[in-house]
Amino acid sequence: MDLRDSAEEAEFRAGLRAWLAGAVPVTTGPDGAPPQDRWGDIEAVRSYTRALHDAGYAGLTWPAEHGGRGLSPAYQAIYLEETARAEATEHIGVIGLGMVGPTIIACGSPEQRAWYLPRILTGEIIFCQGFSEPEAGSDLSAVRTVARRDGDELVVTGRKVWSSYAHLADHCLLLARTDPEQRRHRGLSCLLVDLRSAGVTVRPIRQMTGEAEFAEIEFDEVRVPLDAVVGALDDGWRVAMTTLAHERGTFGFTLTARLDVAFRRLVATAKARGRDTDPLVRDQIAARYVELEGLRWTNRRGLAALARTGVPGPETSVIKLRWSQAHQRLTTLAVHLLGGDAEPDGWDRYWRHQMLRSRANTIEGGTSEVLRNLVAERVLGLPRSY
Amino acid sequence: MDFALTGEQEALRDTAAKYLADDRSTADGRVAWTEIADLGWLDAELGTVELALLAEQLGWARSPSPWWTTVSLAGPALRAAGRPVARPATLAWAWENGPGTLAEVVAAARRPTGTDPTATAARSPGAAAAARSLTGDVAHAGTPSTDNPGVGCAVAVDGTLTGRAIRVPHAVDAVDLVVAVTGAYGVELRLVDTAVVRATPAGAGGQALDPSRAVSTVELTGVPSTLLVAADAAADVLALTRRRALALLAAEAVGVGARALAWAGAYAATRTQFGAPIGANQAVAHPLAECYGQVETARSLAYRAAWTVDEETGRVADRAVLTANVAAREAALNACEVAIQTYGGSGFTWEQPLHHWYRRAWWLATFDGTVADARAELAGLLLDD
Repeated sequence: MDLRDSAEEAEFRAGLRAWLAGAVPVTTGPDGAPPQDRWGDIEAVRSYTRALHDAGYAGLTWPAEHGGRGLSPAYQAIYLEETARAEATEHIGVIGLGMVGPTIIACGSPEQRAWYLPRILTGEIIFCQGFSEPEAGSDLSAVRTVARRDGDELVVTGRKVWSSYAHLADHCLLLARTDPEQRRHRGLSCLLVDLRSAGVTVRPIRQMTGEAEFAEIEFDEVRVPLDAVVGALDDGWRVAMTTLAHERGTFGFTLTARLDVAFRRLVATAKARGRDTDPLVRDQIAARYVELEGLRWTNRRGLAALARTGVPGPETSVIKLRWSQAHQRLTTLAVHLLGGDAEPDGWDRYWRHQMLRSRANTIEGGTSEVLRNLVAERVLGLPRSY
Repeated sequence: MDFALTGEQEALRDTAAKYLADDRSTADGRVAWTEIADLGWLDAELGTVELALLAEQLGWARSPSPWWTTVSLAGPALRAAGRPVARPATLAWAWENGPGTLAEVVAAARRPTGTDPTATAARSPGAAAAARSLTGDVAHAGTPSTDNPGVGCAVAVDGTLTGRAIRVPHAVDAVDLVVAVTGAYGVELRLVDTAVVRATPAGAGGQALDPSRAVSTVELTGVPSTLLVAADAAADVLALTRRRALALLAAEAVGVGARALAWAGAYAATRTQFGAPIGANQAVAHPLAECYGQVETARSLAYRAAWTVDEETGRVADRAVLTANVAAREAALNACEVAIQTYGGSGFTWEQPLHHWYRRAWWLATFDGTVADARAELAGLLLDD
């Protein structure tokens, strides 16, 4: 056990920190508060993505032959920690870099790899994920979107919802039923679909925050070439699970990095509003810190298990569950700190927005109820409850 | 960065688990102590991570052994004095009429004799006197002990000690008693043979919260003592003592919580009502899943705290041990409470062993201050410069 960076890790961290110091644009909202929407200035995100790619920080864990750096997840973790520390924005292709790209690397054809992978890295194309449907939320195997075979094409009809980043995306990794005779996990396929195709309608879903960072996507007889299938036809469940598994490797670091930023802003808010001497507030801030640190070090424990065994340790199954609770408590505390009905300033608006947005945390990417079921069944060995 | 146990560490942990699963380990205190020594659990080479792994297993077994007080509370002072850590030992730091917590004793040790905080940096009697005269407070200058608060027990000129130490864990099991007392130049650590003191367990007769780790009031009436750590070094040794004690306490709490959860999980999977195992109900299963998350994050923090005790100092180390303590104390208590609920009526009986672990969890949760006290101290490290 050595909780310090190795010499190579320390060098990577120092180089990244130096690069970030020059590359991250200073963006503040009104009254010195952070901008409300991480994706507010989309042109800034695009240019940051290009700079990130040029500096070699896009696709750190992708194999070198596919345009990545071939580094271990430990470097991705350092990248996430440092970009959070610098309050940098993210690569515009979050879903493509973290989920779709690795899936294409693992299951895609040589042609798919050659065309999609470089474009995902540069941010030229932006993916969203088309898994959830109105009637297939937690139970993904219930998808009703159909891809009917017609010669060497598939004809897609159906509706996808809760596609994050769909308002920016031009491509979608779609899970659809290709064999109508089969039930549940069988007879599904994963397709790479260009959202600019005829018959595709993207409708933003306005959230309680007022923004629309999710969308509903409607497919009406959309024609997709057969070679857009990732992996084998009717083998989409396995491909979809590959995609979701990639979320688990270092996703906890992504979440924790965001929580780290939020915690520092919480402390700054408490001090700015003169609430940092209130014993009750101090108690709550310490409690939030304990939650943050618990996630940080559990991520690192999971990473060590991943490095040794190829799979993250079972303890990482609680990261998303606990992160979502911690983030909700943190934003709730921040709004309580602000208090009052005075004319809201930038910080008031920032925290109110964060608080409202955080209500989705216990729903998106696996509801807390489903995650507890998974822990109970797969880790604690309890009987299946549904 | 590599947050994984080494092969040796895993072997140490597994051997401990195997040994503690045997009833021998709790049957006879003297035999158990010899075996613990033979297993190498008192060896000077063990780092705090290794000790934490052992503490976790001892918590899992809810061992009544005075091992924890020996290696964490008494060990640092004995080692600093070049003495072996071989016999059951403990530390008396809280005295009647003196500061009650280890944190306060560490703070007192950072001050020279007398209470003038402006003289903090002064270590020689001359400097201390000079610092006091600057503030016009000359009453205590050069005066040894008896009339200043210190820690509540002062060394007499002939080296004997008279006082009443309170809340001394494992005092009845210990042979060596390390005491934090006020000497001529500040707080120092001295050694007393428990054969010449009178230890009275608090809440004797089944009233103690956790009888397997009884705390005692220890009466010292003019007993001889030997200097272990002089005033110039006592503060650092006490700070290390506190960090190590808290890191091992967090690890022990993880063991307590993990055991309660293991019992509850096994029971929920097998106890049948309405024709199905009760664990098939999400109302039963989900609190256990939450417990698992709480115990595992606490485990990460406890291991990290243990590593930090040997590798870091100052605020970084204090922050790590306090963070681990808050998480692990809450995890242990909650796991026991959820387990008792999961067991239903039988969970409330004396016959079910759960209450023994619950009592230990409470002991850990209130050692040297409450969880809220730990958060208050942590807040100071986070918010105040």
